[in-house]
Amino acid sequence: MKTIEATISLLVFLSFSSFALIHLPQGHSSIYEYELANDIWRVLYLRGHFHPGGEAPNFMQDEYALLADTNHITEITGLCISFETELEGGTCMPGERNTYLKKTAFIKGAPRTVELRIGAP
Amino acid sequence: MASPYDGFRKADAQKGRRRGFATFDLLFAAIPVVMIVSNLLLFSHIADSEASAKLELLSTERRLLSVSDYVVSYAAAEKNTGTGYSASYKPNLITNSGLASLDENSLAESAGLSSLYVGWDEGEGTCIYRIVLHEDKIEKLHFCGEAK
Repeated sequence: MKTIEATISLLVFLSFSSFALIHLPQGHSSIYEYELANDIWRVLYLRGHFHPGGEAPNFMQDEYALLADTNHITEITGLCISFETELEGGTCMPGERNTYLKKTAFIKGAPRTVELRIGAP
Repeated sequence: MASPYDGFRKADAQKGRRRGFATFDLLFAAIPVVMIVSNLLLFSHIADSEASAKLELLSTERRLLSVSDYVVSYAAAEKNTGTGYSASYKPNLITNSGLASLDENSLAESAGLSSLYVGWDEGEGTCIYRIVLHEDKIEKLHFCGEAK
């Protein structure tokens, strides 16, 4: 009787462990995520978020317009986008598994490093 | 009257019963071993097929990524000035004429894909997307295909 009980317990354990191992979350490759982060930076540049006028290009000059664009990107892609610099912005904080890139942009007339992070919520 | 062989018969029966119990116990002990082995074999088979499927998916994704990089940066991007190697482009700014002039078959052939679809809607097979600017709107450009 004990042998049968032990066998059943072992089978249940094996099925659970194999199920957990096989169904590990599958993500995209990191190079693809890096390309997407670059796309976001590039698209924001093309949308004029670095060109406030004739003076030195300032990033995040018009925060509302930038937020509207990043919100739209989050809406169509489901990606969380956040900027970390002197000024903080973005749509939502990406989860632990995120991709980031560092770029230099003018903020209030001076060059500053901006960290762009993207990832699933 | 008791036969002189009765004692031997009784001893034989007892030995047989003991042997029977031993076989039965061995049988029960063998069941979990057989189950573990069969489960391990099944698991390794599933893990192997999962791993090969994942590898194939990643390889297709990389091929699609290299095609998308070319399309988004040059082939369908707005051209500034110049021709040939002296031409300068605006990566991620997609034009309708650039998109229409794409030769999907030759792109698929050069990337080692059996089929390729580039468009605003999602196609069939493995798909990736790139974020682009099209007619002043932020959109997703889909790249779908299958490896050879």
